[in-house]
Order: sequence, then C-alpha cells, then structure tokens
Amino acid sequence: MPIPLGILAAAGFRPSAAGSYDLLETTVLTGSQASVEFTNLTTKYASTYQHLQIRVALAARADDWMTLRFNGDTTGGNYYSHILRGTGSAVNSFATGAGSLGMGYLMNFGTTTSAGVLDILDPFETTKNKTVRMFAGNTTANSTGGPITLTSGLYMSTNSVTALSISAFSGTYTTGSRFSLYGLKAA
Amino acid sequence: MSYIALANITLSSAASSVTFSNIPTSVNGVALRDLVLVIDGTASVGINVSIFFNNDNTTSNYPYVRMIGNGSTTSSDTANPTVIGDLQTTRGMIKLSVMDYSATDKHKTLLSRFDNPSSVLGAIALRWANTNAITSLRVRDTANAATFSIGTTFALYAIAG
Repeated sequence: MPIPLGILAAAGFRPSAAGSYDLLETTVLTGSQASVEFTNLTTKYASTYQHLQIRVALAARADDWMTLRFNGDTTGGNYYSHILRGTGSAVNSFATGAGSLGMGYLMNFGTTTSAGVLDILDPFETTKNKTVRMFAGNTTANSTGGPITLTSGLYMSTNSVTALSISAFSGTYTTGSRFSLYGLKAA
Repeated sequence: MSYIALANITLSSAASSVTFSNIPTSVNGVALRDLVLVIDGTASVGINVSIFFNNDNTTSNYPYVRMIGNGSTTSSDTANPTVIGDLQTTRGMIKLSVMDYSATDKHKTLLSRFDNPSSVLGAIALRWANTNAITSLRVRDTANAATFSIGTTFALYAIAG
C-alpha cells in the first residue's frame, strides 16, 4: 500500500506543538576533529528549556568509545556510567568511570557509520546531580566493542550545565559527522 | 518547529506492506536530518519486520546487530539483515530513527527499539550501505508471507538538524 507523501501533505500534515522540541545548534564537521563543544548553555537556554538532547550521526572512524565532559570538569571521580550492550554474539553489562575525559562508554563507534541519541535530564537544575541516558549503535559486531548499547550516566554535580564536550578515548571524529543539540521545554 | 509529522496511517484493512514515498529533505525551508517511524499494532502471526529504502531489495545492503531479552534469557545476533523489530498477534510497537537520512556522504545508520509486552523486547542497529538520500521506505514481513493487521498505525516524522 503506497502512501505518497505529496497527497498527505496536501491534505494538511500535522506539525508538532510549536516550540516544544527545538533544534538549538548543529555542528557538521568539515575536517577531522578530536572533540565537539557546546558552550554557554546556561546563558543561552536555561530560561527556556528543561531538558537537552544530542543526536549524533557519525561518519566512519576508528573503533573507540564516546566520552562526555561537563563544564570542563576533569575529575574522574565525578562521573559514573553503566552500559548494557549487545556485541553481535552476546549480551553483557559493565560499569565504569572515565577519568579526566568525563563520562565514558556512552557510544561505541565500530568502524562503519554509527549513531546515537543522548538525553540529558534537568541540566540546568541546581538541586540535582545530572543524569543522562544514551541509545547508540553501529553494525560492527565485536566481542569487545558495543554495536548496540544502552548507557546510563551520572555527573556528580549540582551546578548548572554550562558546557558539554564530546570526545573519545582516542582519535578524531571525521568529516561529515553531525552533532545536533535540541531543547525540550517544560509543560 | 523541529519535530515534524510527515504522514500517519491507521490500517482499515490488513496490508502486506506499507510504503512512504516522496519523503522530503526540507519543509518550509527547514532542512530535515533524521526520520522517526513509529509502528504500533499487530500482525496476522508473529513476524520479524523488515525495512527497505529507495526500492533497494538487496538484503546484504542492510547489515544489522540485534540485542533482545525475552523475560528469561538475553541474546545478540547479526543473523537477520533488514530487520527492525518484530510484531506479534498481541499489541506491540517498534520505534526507529534513521539518522542523517538526507545526507549524500555516508551510509545511513538506523536505531530501533521494539517492545512486545507478551514476548520480547530489544534494540537494533542497522546500516543501509548506500550514500543516496532516502526518498522512500517500505516495511513488510521479513518472510513476505504475513500481513499487518487492521488498526495497526504507522507514523512518520522528520527532525530538523
């Protein structure tokens, strides 16, 4: 049953509630880059948005894991993460910190394209530590990697999030990789 | 307006497949990056659901990795390319994101979560090994034998980026 979008669009597609989920910033790499930064977040977005989401679509790069640093904080003891992963042959789980790079093992890259969706809850709330979750995947089956991962993370600080730095344990993100930041408003 | 409803259908009769065509890459001047497809319903029998883009029916172009739990055991496999989840005769759902669907410089990565409260839940990463922008998608029973049931809904969204 084909459903040509042209016909449905003419009938009046239904836009989402205006302004509840907004694209805030997008970075598309035009060259290799070790990290991507989102800065001045409190100043720009705290008065309008309650939650943040980062969607990443990565061009192929060397196999490694994504790390996330909050507010330039390099104290490894402030970060925790738990990972549930499918390797292509087994399902297992592990927990870890990340050291000076921040919250680790949020996403595995494999050696092909990869993608992930990261939710950061109440980033501007000053009464709570910061929690995140990420669903990510690639198609490089690897017994030590993580083609399919569900990760939860904790940043032990009640400070408002002013900056997010996305990097990896090693290597660079490659040309064409996209990092998009979205804001979700409170009801 | 960053999360845009493109199309929505509720089946009024059983259907062997559902196709969305002429998928735009922008709406009202807003560039679109990701597609989100939500399937909510049942099938005539328990099935794996496959996806195909731009009439590309070559299954080897859709490698995947799956992770599932059925209430007593877990497993992970790469055995069923094109599969995005399953539907049973009791209600379940599949929600997937196709990232950077309009890009012409990379293969397309798809992330899917599927949930059937009566049987299994899981997650899938799938890659369409093609750098063309996605202009159409079709979903059907992997075995091409069963049907999506009356009342099953298919909702397609696009996210600006």
